[in-house]
Amino acid sequence: MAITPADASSMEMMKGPHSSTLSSPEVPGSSLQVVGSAKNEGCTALELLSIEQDLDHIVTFSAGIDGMLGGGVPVGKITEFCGSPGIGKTQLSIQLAIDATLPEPFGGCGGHSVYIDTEGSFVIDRVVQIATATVRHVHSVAKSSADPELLAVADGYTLEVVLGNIHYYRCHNHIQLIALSNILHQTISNINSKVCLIVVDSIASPFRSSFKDMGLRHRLLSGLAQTFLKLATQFSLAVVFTNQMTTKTQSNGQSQLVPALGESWGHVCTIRVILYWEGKERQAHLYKSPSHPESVVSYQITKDGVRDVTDDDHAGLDSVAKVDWEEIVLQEDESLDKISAVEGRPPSKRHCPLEC
Amino acid sequence: MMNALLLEEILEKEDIIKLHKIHIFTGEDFIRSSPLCVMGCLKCTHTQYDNILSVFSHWLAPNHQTALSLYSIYNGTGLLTHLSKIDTALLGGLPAGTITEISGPSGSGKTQFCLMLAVISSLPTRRGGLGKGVSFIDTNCSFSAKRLISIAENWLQSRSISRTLSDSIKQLADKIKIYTELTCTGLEKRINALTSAAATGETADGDIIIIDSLAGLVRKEYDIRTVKGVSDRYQFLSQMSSKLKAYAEEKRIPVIVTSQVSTQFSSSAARGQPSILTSLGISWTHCVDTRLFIEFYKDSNKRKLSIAKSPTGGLISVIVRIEKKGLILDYHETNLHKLTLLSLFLSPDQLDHQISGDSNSYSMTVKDQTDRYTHRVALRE
Repeated sequence: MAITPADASSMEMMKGPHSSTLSSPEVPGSSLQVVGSAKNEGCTALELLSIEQDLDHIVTFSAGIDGMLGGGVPVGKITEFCGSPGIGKTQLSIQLAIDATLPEPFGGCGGHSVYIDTEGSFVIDRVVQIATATVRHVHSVAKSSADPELLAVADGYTLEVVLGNIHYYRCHNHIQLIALSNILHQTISNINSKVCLIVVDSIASPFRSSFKDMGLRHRLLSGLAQTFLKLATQFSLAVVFTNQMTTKTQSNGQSQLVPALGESWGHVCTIRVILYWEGKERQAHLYKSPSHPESVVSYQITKDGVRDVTDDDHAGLDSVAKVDWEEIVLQEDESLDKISAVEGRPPSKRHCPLEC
Repeated sequence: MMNALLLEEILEKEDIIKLHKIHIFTGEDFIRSSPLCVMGCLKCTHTQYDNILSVFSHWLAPNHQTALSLYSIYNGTGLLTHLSKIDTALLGGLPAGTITEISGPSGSGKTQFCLMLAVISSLPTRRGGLGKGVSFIDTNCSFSAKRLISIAENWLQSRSISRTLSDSIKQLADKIKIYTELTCTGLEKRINALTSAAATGETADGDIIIIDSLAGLVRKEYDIRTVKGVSDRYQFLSQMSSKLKAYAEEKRIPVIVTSQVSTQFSSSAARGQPSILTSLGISWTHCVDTRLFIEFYKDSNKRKLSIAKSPTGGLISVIVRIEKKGLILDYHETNLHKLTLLSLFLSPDQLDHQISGDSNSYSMTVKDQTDRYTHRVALRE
C-alpha cells in the first residue's frame, strides 16, 4: 500500500523537535565530532543528551519499525538486522539506501548512501522499482501541500538523482571487504555531499565460508566493526549490517535459530533487530538497544518497498488484497451501494502487497 | 602473483624478507595480519603502517559504481520462464548474475523444469530464449535426451516453423552440453573447469550452468550426524556457491541448481523459521538468491510453484501443469487458488463465501451476519 501524504506528515511530526537542526545547513559530521573530541576531556550526560537529541535518523518507511528504533535507524551507531532467508533483509537494505537520499523537508537526510553488497543480491530492477515509488511519494506529498518550496525540492528529486546518490560496491570475499573499509573514509571525503548511510548486505556471508581459524575470523570481524564505527562517528552516518541466521544445536539435542557469526559478534552491534515470520506475517523484534525497550512490530514488503501492516490489512475482507502484484478491484455489490456509502466505505482500489 | 609483485613495488627487499618470516607473502596476507605483528616485524610507526595498508587496500578494494551507472549498463538478460506471473514477479525472469534454486519433493518436476529452462536458454532470442550455450551437470543420471528433444520440438513447433524443424533442433541440441558427475570431487572439478575456462576468456559467451541435483550428491557424501560432517558440507556448498556466483556475475547469466526437501520440511515451524526448508539447511538457503519451490497440487499433473525467496521481493505462487512443452501456467487453477488464499483472510464474522469462476472472470462473494457487507471480489487480469 502506498504511503499517503498524511503518513508522511506524521513521519515529519515524529522528527518534530529536530526539524530546526535538520533544515539548518550543517557541516557533515559536526555534531558527532563534538562527542569525539569531548570524549578525551569527558563530557557530562546532559551535554551528551543535547547532542544525541540532535542526531538524525534514517526512516524505513515503516512507522512501526521507525517507532521501535526511535525514529528510524540512528546515525552514529551500528544497527544490525538478522533474519532467515527471504524475510526481507535485502529489501530493507535497499529501502534504507534510497531513504537516505530523501530530501530534508521530506523527513530524510538528503544525502548519499554507500551500499556494500557481499551476496550479489542487489538487483537493479528492484532498486529502480522502489526508488520510483519513493520519488512518486515525494512528489505527491509536495503536490498535496502546495508549498512552493516543497514543490521546488520535489522537482529536483528524480530517479536519476536517487540512483546517482547510491554508491555501490560488490565484494566477493572478506579481503575485498576489509580493503574497502580501509579506504572508505577517503571515498566518503571525496563525495561532495554528505554521506548518511553505509549498508553492508550481508556482513555474514564473506565470513561464513573458508574460515577454519575462528580466532582469525573474530579478530578480522571486530577490526572491521571498529573501522565502521569510526566512520560512523567521524562522518556522523548510520551503519547498517545485515546478518544471516544459523542453526545451533543445544545440549538437549534441540536446534534453535540464532544469528550467525557467534556470540562475540553480538556484542559489536549497538542495536540488533531480528526479523522473522509469525505465521504469514513478517515481524521485527528489537532484541538489543541501549535506549529503547524490547518490542515487536509487524511490517510488510510491498511492490513499493518496506511498509507498515495497516489496520486495513487485519480487517478481514480488505486484507484479501494481500495476494498478488496485480491490482485487485474491490467492488461493492451494486444493490448495496447506498448502504456502503452511508457506512463511508467507498469502493476502493488499492495496490496489492506481495505476501500471500 | 599480482599482489606479490605489489609487495615488491612498495616495500624494500629486506622488509619483504622480514614479512616472509611471519608468513606474509601477498597483499591479502598483509591485510589479514594483525597490525601489531606487522609493525613489530618491520619496526615501523603506525602512520607508516597505515600508508602501506592504504596502498594494498586501494589495490584490492572493489570498484566504485553508482546505482545510476549500474542502471545505465543494465540490459535485462534474465532467463524468462515463460510462466507469465512468475516472470512478472521476478521482474523479467530468473535474474542474470545470480543463483536460482529449484527445490521440491521427488517427482515434483524439478528435472522437467530444468530441461525446459535448458531449452529456453538455448532457443534463439527471437523465439524468447537467450540463444546461449548450456552446461547441464547431471548428478543422478536423470537427464533424458529424448525428453529434451521432445520439449524442444514443442517449443519450436508451437511457433509454427515446420520445415526447418530438424535443423533447428540439431542446432539447439548442439548447444546443450551434458556432464555426468557422480561425486562431489568430480562436481568441484567440473565447476572449476567451467568457471576457470570462463575466467581466462576461452569462451567469450559463458554457458548457463544447470546442476541437477546438487543436494542429492551432497547429501550422499557428507554424514551430517557428526559436527564435522555438517561443517565440511557447509564449507563445500559455500565454496561452490561463491564460485558459481562470481561466474554468473561476470558473464551476466543465471545459474540454476536443484535440491530436494527433507523431513525438516514437515517439522513444525519454530519462531523465526521459514515454513519451508530444503535438505541443505538454512545456511545454504542464504547462499542462493532466488528460490523456487515446487509441490504437488490436487491431481497428478498439477503443481504449485512458489517463489520462496527473491531479491525482487515478490513472493507469489501459481499453479502449473506439466505438459509436452514442460511447465505451463494454468490460469484457471491459479486464479481459483488465489481466491482460496483470499478466503483464508476472512474474519470469522464474514461467515459465508463462495468462489466461482469461468475462463474470463473470477469472483468471490462474501456475506456477514447482517448481510450488509456483501462484497464481490473480482480478479482483474
